[in-house]
Amino acid sequence: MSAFEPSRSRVPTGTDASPSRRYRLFAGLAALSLMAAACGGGSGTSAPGSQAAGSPDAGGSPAGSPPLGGSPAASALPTAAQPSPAELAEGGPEIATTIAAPEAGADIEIWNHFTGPDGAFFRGLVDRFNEEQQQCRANVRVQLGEVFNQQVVSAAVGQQLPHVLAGGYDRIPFLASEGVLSPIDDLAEQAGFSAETFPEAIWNAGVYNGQRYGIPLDTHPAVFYYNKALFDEAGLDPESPPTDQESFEAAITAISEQTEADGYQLVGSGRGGPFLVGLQFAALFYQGGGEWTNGEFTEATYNTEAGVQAAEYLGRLATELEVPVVESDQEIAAFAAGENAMVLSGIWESTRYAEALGEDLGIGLFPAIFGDGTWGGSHQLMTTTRVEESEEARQCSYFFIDWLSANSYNWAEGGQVPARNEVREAILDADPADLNATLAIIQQVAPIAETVQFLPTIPSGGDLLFGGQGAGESALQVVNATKGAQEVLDESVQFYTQRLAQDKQDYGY
Amino acid sequence: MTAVESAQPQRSLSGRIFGIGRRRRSSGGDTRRRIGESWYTPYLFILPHFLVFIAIIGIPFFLGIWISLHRSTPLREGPFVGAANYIALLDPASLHFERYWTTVWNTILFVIMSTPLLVIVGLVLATLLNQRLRGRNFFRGIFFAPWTLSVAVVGLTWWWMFSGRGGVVTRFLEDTLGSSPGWLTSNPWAWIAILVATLWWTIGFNTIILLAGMQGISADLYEAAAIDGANRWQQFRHITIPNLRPVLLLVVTLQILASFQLVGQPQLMTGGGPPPTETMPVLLHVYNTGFTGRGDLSLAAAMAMIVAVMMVVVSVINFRLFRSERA
Repeated sequence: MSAFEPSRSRVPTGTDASPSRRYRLFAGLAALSLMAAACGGGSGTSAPGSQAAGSPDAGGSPAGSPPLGGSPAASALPTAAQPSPAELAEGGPEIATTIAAPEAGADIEIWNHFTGPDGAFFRGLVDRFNEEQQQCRANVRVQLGEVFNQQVVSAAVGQQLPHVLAGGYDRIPFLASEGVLSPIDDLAEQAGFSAETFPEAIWNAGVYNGQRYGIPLDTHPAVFYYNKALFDEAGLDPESPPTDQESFEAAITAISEQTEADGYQLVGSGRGGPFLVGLQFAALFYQGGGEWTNGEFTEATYNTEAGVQAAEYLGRLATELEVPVVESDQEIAAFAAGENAMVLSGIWESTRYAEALGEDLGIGLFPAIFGDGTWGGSHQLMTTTRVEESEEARQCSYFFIDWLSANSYNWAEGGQVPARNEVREAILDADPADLNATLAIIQQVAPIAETVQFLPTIPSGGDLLFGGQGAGESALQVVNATKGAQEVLDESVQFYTQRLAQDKQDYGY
Repeated sequence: MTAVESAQPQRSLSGRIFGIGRRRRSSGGDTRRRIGESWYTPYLFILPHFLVFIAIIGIPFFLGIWISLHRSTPLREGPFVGAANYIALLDPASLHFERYWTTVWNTILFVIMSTPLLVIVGLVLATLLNQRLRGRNFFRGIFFAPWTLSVAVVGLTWWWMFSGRGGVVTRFLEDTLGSSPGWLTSNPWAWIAILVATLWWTIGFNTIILLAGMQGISADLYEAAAIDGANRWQQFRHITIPNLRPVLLLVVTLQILASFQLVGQPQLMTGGGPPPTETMPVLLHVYNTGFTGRGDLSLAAAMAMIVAVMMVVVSVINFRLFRSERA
């Protein structure tokens, strides 16, 4: 083996966190805190600000994290405010858990990065878990999404890992390759989970390097929202949103011409730019049947026809259809204000849109410009190497994961689409009159779960789309007409192919 | 003890610096123990800061060099790669070259734009505040107040004010002039927005330092000049500026170093855009490289080391200027 062997499942819980590891991390943290300290003086710097409201990480925490909600704590990294438990709705399917709580019982700790309303529902579920049985006591802690990985790494060094992590699937390769996660193929087997239990793409997103590290909790896809009142005003049928390129472009033109509002808006800059344009690029790219890499993950391949036509289409919207190019999150604000008639946003914007537009909010699939396909993220449940210390804690962690999956009906109330087929079907089959507002939206969005596609689960997977010099940034340059689609994607692919070759060597996946 | 001391009258550099040894000797047969009596006493005074310095600057600095010579991740020991990370940044054919040096240039550009602005405006404000006017302390307080805020507050506030939708600056210009530039979406406006935010945030510091310097200038000089018929401008030009020179050089030095550390304002206001990197400073690029996505700590460390070398060079030049002015 060249480079470094993944030291999976050895590092964090034992006593072997070597000094050099500690110091290396320490150096990194010191650099961060120096940056933070510099804020006080001169024209300084900051710890990473939270992303723009509409811009979680690749698969990460949606539900608009409050900007800079953290308060300084003992840790070098900012921490999140802890939500109070939400009241859970009645109803939902009765699903029995296959895994039982161990007789002896144990206390388990759970970390997530759900800083939005979803965090309150997670806590509500944990409370219910603790009420329903006495053996396993679960404690949950919310961390800020932006520093979640660093927080977990610090905990690994300090031997203070929680047992269970709930987070974006895109974090799995990083955390697994750092030796923080414990494989859970046995959990899947004990619980009877398989590609039949969840949509296949979501199920596969929990695997890294041939081992399972994540059990899917949900998916949070990009959703096509439109304003029915503006459709009506422009002489369009408010009950039939555009389904293909022709009807989409006709709607843009009609609304721009007939109303005060814009038919569509494109993000061209701002903090959330690579993310917001990235997910539109990804949707179009999937529609064209694109693949991010070759099968061995050694070459980036998004400069193929599917990638170029996706980027060119976004550029065409700006040039030929004269769609306004705006700062990130403005298309979201404009849609909520009724000044933008159509938008492709993460499902976590649903609540905000529903509150702002009420009956006028229409929900559908993103028009099939090149075919079917949607960008989505997925939260998955993982265990850390801490579970290897105690059989009871491991069993409680497994029991909790199985239990949470069975009870994910209430997780949907936090604004996510449950990954588990039975739960999703129960929501789809319900009478809309019996569902609360959030669940009613989830009911409309739930079918998208079958079509979402994911980035490759390799350490650089998320960067291909959202990282510096990635596809999202490339698409932004096409939208701004600073570079041609083929040229900018070729450059991006060249950069990432070099990175992937290096990764393959370093990580040995 | 005293025998040893008197046997080595010139022994102690620290004694000379503190000026204590001489006073003791001049007081003749005084044998009471005083500060500075032991050779190590001054070092004890330095020790607390020295330990903090070693812990949060010294060790991380050398570890940074160590990391930059390896290929490491936060928890895994990487192989030694020698200068590979540096070559990746210094070789024009490398795929990392262009972005790195673009962001370095952005940073230098910001230093060039911000330093004169912040020093000159600071000087003007200090001059205004150095007069006898009603509510002088109130204004001093106001100008200094933003400096106490964190970059997060400043960045988000100005981001909001400059944003294209509902930003108060944008709105105001649209209402009065009929149109407004896209402050955060195109250059030079994005740089101007960042400069304005920085100016508002940090000008108080320079103002206060310069003001303190001005108040140290003897009023006799102005009085004498006034008697000789010098007007206000001549007084400023020939009395204030020359007497303020050491303080000015200090302010310029600190300002250059502070401007080099630009990160938060573009991170929060423009995200480094217009895309891809028109306002991205090098330290934001270092942060993104090391700590986001599949972070590359080693490459980020090498980037930071090159910046560190540049800052040392700038500091040395400044120091020489400072010294020659003093001489």
